[in-house]
Amino acid sequence: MFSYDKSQRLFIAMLLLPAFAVLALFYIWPSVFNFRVSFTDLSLLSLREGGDFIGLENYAELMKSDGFRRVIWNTVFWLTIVSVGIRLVFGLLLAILIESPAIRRFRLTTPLRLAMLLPWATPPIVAVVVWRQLLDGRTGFINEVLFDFGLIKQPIAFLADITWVWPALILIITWNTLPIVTLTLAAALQSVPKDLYEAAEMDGTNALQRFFHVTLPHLRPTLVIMGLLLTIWTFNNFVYVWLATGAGPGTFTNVLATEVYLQGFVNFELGLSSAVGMVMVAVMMVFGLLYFRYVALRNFSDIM
Amino acid sequence: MKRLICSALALALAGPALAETELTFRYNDPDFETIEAALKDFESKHPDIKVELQRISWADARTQFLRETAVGEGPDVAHMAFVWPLELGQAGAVLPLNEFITSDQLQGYIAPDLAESADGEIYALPWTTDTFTIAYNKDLLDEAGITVPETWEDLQAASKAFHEKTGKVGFGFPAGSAAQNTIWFLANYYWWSHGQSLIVEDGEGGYKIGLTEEMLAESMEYFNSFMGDGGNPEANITGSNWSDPSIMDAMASGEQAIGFFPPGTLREIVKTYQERSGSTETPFMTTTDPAGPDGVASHVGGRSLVINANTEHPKEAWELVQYLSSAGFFSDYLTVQLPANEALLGKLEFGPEMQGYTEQLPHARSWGPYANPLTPIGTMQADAGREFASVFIGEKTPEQAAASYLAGIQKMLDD
Repeated sequence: MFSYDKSQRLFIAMLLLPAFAVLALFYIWPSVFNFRVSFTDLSLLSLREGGDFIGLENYAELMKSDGFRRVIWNTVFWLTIVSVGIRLVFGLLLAILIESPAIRRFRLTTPLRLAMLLPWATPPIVAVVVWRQLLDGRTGFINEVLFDFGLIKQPIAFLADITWVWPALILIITWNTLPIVTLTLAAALQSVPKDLYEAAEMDGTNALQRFFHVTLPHLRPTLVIMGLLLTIWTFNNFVYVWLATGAGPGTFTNVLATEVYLQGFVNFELGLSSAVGMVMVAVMMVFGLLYFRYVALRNFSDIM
Repeated sequence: MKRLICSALALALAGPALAETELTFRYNDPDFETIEAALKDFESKHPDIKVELQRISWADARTQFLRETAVGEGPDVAHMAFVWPLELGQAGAVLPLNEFITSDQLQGYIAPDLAESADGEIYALPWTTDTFTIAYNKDLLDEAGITVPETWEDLQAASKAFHEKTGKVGFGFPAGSAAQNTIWFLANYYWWSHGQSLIVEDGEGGYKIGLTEEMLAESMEYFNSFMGDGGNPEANITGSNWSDPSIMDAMASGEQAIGFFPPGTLREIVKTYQERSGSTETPFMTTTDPAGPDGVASHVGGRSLVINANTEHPKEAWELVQYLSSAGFFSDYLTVQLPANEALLGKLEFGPEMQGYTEQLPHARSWGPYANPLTPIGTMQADAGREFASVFIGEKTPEQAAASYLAGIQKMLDD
């Protein structure tokens, strides 16, 4: 491991300064500006004059709104916990399948990895448009198949029925982003030393025990990082919900990212919209700190 | 050879000099190629002006324009809904046109009250006009033995009966909650024909809510009765726009008997039907919107043209606006839209399937007090879409949704 003296650290800091200045300009300044706007009644119609300072009114309005509690629930539970959980579980199962001896024996590992890339390479907007057609309540392919197999008697409006809309949304998100989880975990699986499996087998363990006592401990760092990254990407995501349901039906699938848009650019309440944005920042800071603690700090310690 | 080179050089240098003014025109409807052709004609008649055509969806048009004008940008001339210019004018986003047109001249257009503010500033030129009517497939209704609905109750009964008899869609309307939703128009027609209005003047120069919670809940209950077995498929909650492709297709393919459309959309349906059937005949007819105790009601819809407050070429922009509002433009290019200039409108001939629009227009009213500075009409429309949809999906009762909607409007008025 390298170690650096004080002058070398100063030199490194000087080299990093321009990058930090760019970050400050494009990330920190807009965030500070947004924070300031969240204490005003700025409207899209009063952009030229600016808004008046109204203290914590926007935050108070959010806190006492039943609708906003639903938005938080949708974002945290459905969009983040459920969708991230499903992708981690299915990603892990698919990774194990792809790296399994049976798949290797039939030389299917590479074709399967390539096939996995197809959904990942599909832009989200294309994925959502295609899935909207597939899930259409009148002419959708999925309804046709369910009819043909006699599983339903009435078509299901997947993106309009409150029983189905969240599962349908999660299906779209999972289809489009599962490959990155699978391929990352498949790569991590390759790094598990084979002799550990041999030793475990000699000790008389079964496949399940080998998974829990050999595979999973080795995958834990990758799972933690992937879980955190997925959480950050998903929690902030606007595209899937907005394009698939427009936060509807009604406001049933409204999440924080779509609420920012609705308040800012449908209701024109930029101050309130900024306050919603600040709530998002506050929640994301928790995940950001976790990421810093488990990932960035570990890497940073290598040069200290 | 030298002459040839000199001529080429002179032409090359003269080229940019010919078009001294460059304008941008932002257009939001789908018939982009028609406008492109018209702009070429305009350029040939005004060799010193070059026009770049920009395209944007209606859903983003207003907010994008506001964002751009706030920082000194945006197109020179823009296409707006009738109800937007006053709020855009108050936001300082559009140029007052009093230098180019007088208040008296504006009276020759449809809905001048939506273009001219109370203090006499003219912020837009009304461009095209329309309203919504009930359109139906005569053959389908005849086969099912159902008469053309005249009242709201008739419409409800006809939709349900047709669906029960044929299994097809009765009255199919987009029930979704996007910002530009259709239920807003249906709901307002219902309220107006029952003698109420969401926003009214308070008699003291201000505005107040003119709709009771009971009437709003009743209208929610009424439109909810169409969902599913009432003849409007639940899947229509995924569509919000009156030009929703699945509804247009259902009409054109004979899977739906009754719809609710502006003239441009109905023309597209008729065109699709004729292309598919190879016939010039059409089974589609229009009739006035359903009557309530206070008769028939609809809104005077339409589009306006505005000039950006930041334009460096106001005179040239006005020349473009004038060209786009001319008789030649409507007869040679934008033939699917009705001009908002009443003198031009009177000269137009309608086909038989458009008869309902001519009967409906005298019953159409301006949004009037809706276009006030306190309650942005786009926000009221978006909120209405969300609250109606929350009833359609069973998330809220009509009473809860009505209370929530009116509380939101009252808050806007109070603020």
